[in-house]
Amino acid sequence: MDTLEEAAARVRRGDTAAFQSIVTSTSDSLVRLSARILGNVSDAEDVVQESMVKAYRALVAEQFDGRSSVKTWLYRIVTHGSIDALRKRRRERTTSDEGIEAGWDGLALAEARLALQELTDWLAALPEEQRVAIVLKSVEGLSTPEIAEILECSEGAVEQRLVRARATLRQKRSGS
Amino acid sequence: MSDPNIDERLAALSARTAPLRARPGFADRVMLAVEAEHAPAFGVALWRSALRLAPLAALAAVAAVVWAVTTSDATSAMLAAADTTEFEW
Repeated sequence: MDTLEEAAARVRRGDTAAFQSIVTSTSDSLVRLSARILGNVSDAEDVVQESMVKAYRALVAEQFDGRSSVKTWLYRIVTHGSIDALRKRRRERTTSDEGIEAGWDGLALAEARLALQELTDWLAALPEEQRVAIVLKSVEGLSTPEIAEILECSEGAVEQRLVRARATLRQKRSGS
Repeated sequence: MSDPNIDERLAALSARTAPLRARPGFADRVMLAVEAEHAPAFGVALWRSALRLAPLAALAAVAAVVWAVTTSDATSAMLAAADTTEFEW
């Protein structure tokens, strides 16, 4: 089976079928990442699908320069897509007064979905950028340089977001 | 900096949400969306292929006109020579 880099190179040469192997090997981890940010598997799938189309378009147009790995690049696209979805949802909530709910679409992964709901409730008080930073660091287990590359900011900025996020979570815990 | 309680709780939530994955058929749905994205490019490729055949098509059109004129001249000459031919209205 191709590595992600090999598959991406084949897609760039016009082999659309090679994109299937990228989708198959990364879908689960990307949907999980987006769900941890958004709190909802269904919305996460929409974000990942849009992100995959963007990635395909960029590969065909030779806009992927290969400076980062394909995996990091896909993480970046999905993370930014998830942030946009979060912002859109928050805007809609302020106008329609609907709360953010974790999706429950009948899958057998009940315990994982309960944990996702718990995570979403706990991180709800954080601004998007802090929420994403803490998910990438403490839930996804990425390093600070990797997070900086994904969020396209300095490592110092990542550390600052993490410190603020932890302070908010600490306050929330002592307040509850 | 790091807070053991916060980090422990997040690590536990990370482990508990680890089974989350895309629903069955998700990869197929994505590939359908990608192929739909690919369709305009296919249309462009078809148009470019058609353009390559344009000189041949022009040549065929000229040959058809020449053939039509030649055939028409021969028919007119034949009609003019035959005095038995009459048109009925």
